[in-house]
Amino acid sequence: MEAKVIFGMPILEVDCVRKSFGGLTAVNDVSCAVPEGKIFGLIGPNGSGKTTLFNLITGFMKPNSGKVRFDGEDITGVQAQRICKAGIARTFQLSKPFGTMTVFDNIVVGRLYGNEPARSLKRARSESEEYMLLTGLENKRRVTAGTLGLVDRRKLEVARALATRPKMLFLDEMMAGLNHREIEDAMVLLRNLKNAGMTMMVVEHIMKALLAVSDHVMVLCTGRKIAEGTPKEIVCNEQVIEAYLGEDHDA
Amino acid sequence: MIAQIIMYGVIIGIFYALVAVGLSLLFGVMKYMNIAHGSFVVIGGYISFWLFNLLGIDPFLSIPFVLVIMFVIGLIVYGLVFSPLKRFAEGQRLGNSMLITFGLILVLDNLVAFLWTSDVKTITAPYSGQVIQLLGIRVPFTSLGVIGVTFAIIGILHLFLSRTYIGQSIKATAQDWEAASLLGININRTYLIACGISVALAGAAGTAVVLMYSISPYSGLEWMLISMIVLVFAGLGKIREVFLAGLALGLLEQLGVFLLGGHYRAVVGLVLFVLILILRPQGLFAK
Amino acid sequence: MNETDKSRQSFLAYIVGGVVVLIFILLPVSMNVGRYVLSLLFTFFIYIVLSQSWNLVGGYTGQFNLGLAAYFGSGVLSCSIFYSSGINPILSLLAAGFVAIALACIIGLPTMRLRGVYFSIGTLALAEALRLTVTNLWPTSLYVPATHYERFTILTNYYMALGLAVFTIIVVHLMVNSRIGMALTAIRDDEDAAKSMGVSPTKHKVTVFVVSSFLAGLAGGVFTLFRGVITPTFQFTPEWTFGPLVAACIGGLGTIVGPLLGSVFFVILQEIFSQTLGKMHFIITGILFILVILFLPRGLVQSATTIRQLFKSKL
Ligand SMILES: Nc1ncnc2c1ncn2[C@@H]1O[C@H](COP(=O)(O)OP(=O)(O)O)[C@@H](O)[C@H]1O
Ligand SMILES: [Mg+2]
Repeated sequence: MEAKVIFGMPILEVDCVRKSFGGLTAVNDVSCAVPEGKIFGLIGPNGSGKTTLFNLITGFMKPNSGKVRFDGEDITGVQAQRICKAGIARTFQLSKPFGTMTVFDNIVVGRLYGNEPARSLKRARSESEEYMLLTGLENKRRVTAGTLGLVDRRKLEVARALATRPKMLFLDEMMAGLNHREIEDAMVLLRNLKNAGMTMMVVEHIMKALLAVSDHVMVLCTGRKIAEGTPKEIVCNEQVIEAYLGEDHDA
Repeated sequence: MIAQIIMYGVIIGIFYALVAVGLSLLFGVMKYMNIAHGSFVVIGGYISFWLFNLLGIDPFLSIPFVLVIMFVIGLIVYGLVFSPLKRFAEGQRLGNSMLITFGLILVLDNLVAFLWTSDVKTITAPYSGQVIQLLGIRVPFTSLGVIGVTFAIIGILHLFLSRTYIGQSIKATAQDWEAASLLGININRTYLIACGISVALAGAAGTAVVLMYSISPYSGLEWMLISMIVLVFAGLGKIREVFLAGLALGLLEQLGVFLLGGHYRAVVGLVLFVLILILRPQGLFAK
Repeated sequence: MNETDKSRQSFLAYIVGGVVVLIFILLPVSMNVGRYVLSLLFTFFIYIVLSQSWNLVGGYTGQFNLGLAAYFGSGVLSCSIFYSSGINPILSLLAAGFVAIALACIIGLPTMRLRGVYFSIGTLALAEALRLTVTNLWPTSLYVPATHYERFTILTNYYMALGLAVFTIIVVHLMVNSRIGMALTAIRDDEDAAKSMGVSPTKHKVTVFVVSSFLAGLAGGVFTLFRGVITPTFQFTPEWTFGPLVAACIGGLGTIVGPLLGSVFFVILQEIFSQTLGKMHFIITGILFILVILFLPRGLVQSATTIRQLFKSKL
């Protein structure tokens, strides 16, 4: 399928990437383009290859074929830490805090090593404050990250990713397991980030929330792209209803 | 000359398989690393040595005794050392098993040195030193005996694993312990027995060591490294490939001896080991 | 614990550290301690260096190097060779450190590609290969020039070892409290997360490995200047890995105090038992080691903290 350029200049272009694990093709020739400053939603049933696509773009896996371009540069198969320094940050579906460090230090790592690293430890510390506030972690600063509960772990994932000062943010199911209030908070955060100019690719199982915040949505099913369009187009798409909405009960 | 290299390589290789098979079984079933394996080899050697010296039992005939004694030691070791590892999360068990068996080396080796002094011991049986002409090459009688023992032990192990219920449950657990436990297999008991067998096999290898070479309290490390090399050549946890891997190591070592001299025998194996670990971690024989 | 508490605590640690070092500096000149005590303290200092060096890799990156003896041994051997060929002892000592670095680059870097237990057995295998090779090449003892004994009294050796121990602690302290230290902890806690935030695991692991080898090499050099006569085989034996490893693990991985505590413990135990029972202290150490791994994964330091907190909460 050809990548459709929808509106604006794409900052990320994924061109026919494929990833197989033995006999299983987890991502099957998927293409997409994400314009700068927009929220690109990614949905699909469990096991449809969303996380794998994230891994391919963010350097945690190498695609068997296809290309990924970011900000005018070919980043296909580049190591994850380099990709971070090129301006891509991500969260993990299963959160991965630095368990023995404090919440604050977790964020400081992002300021020290990310896209625009601070020059000194002192600088990094003072610059980290804003991400504590932004995600509402300020009263947890000295808590050891390994002991955090689910909600705070999610917040920390986002805060840490933002602390690397990315041009584009990849969020993998950050709302899963949150209650209504927390989901609302998360959506407000996403909108605020968008207003500040952040480009985002968001995987979410909670359809309503995803459709509400996304500018553009892509649907994956067993590794293939089955639909793409505005949230309105997606809810009307026959194939999507059949493949996903019909059998989905988590939403 | 070539014939001799091959002959010695084959003999020593088969012996190496015997040394390593217990470790491979343990890793295959439990996914634990027992770096004290060599120390159990040494202890087995001492048991044979004392049975020979005190009671005059022929070392080959002492093997059943060694197997039984070491099996019991293996059960105790499981209870004291491996069983507590369950308190760790699954991802941390392998690393911690290595550390704990490292502590076990310190205890066992020094206990052995304390009990039996650090002298080097070997068995001189009536037939030690006798050689047999085989295809025009002189082969020590004890080596041939050890090969016979190895075939017997590996054959019995194979029959045990494929014909008995316990053997089958060991194999099933090795493949997938969760599935095995769903089938109603008692995982703890399977681990216990596998550990006993592993240590018993190490003991039998010790008898071979004391016959063909000699033992001393701190020589366990050498045998552990040999087992580890064979294990990595075979592919971790693969029991059937151990035989081929032992042969490969024996032949490569003899080739190294031929090219570099006898002093470098062990160096060849160790360097190949690291290379294979880095370049071909799935083992020599995986497709 | 709040920020001022913490800085007050580290201030206290500096004071205590300074006082202890001062005591060690003044000890030989103010009191008539014999050769025995001085050489015991010498061993203690060498142990501090080696266990800190081991802990830098084992404790801060979580990679258990079972080949430390190779770096210590190469320091011993190279220092002895340089020194007996007429090179200034201090230069020989430094050269020992750099030989260890060179060795780390040649045989250490390939093993960096291995993870977990495979890294451990890989480093052990290479260290053993090196030991056997060295034994083949230098089967007998090496002697330093006769003038050595005029130049190096036990007191000079004592101060050199003390100096190296202090240097080591300062280097480790600076490293782990810098941005490198943050990266190391991040990598140890979660390598993927660290990568996703721009931290290069390989770069940091290599840096730490090289520094660790350098320190072990220097320890080897100081040891050579102390002994005068060395037998290469003995300085490459795995005991030189196992002792520091055990000291660091018992004391507390990934802390600076841990290896210090562990070294005190280890050297004292070794000394008590070597008078009566030879290497029997290893049996006790081994059992203790197993217990610590199983029940106190962060060592004696952790239990000290726990006890102190219990104490505080009672008050
Ligand atoms: N490392 C891996 N090895 C083998 N199979 C994998 C791996 N990662 C993902 N898969 C498989 O790829 C498919 C897609 O997985 P994933 O991308 O996690 O789906 P999603 O995030 O959409 O739920 C699944 O069938 C999964 O089992
Ligand atoms: Mg997923």
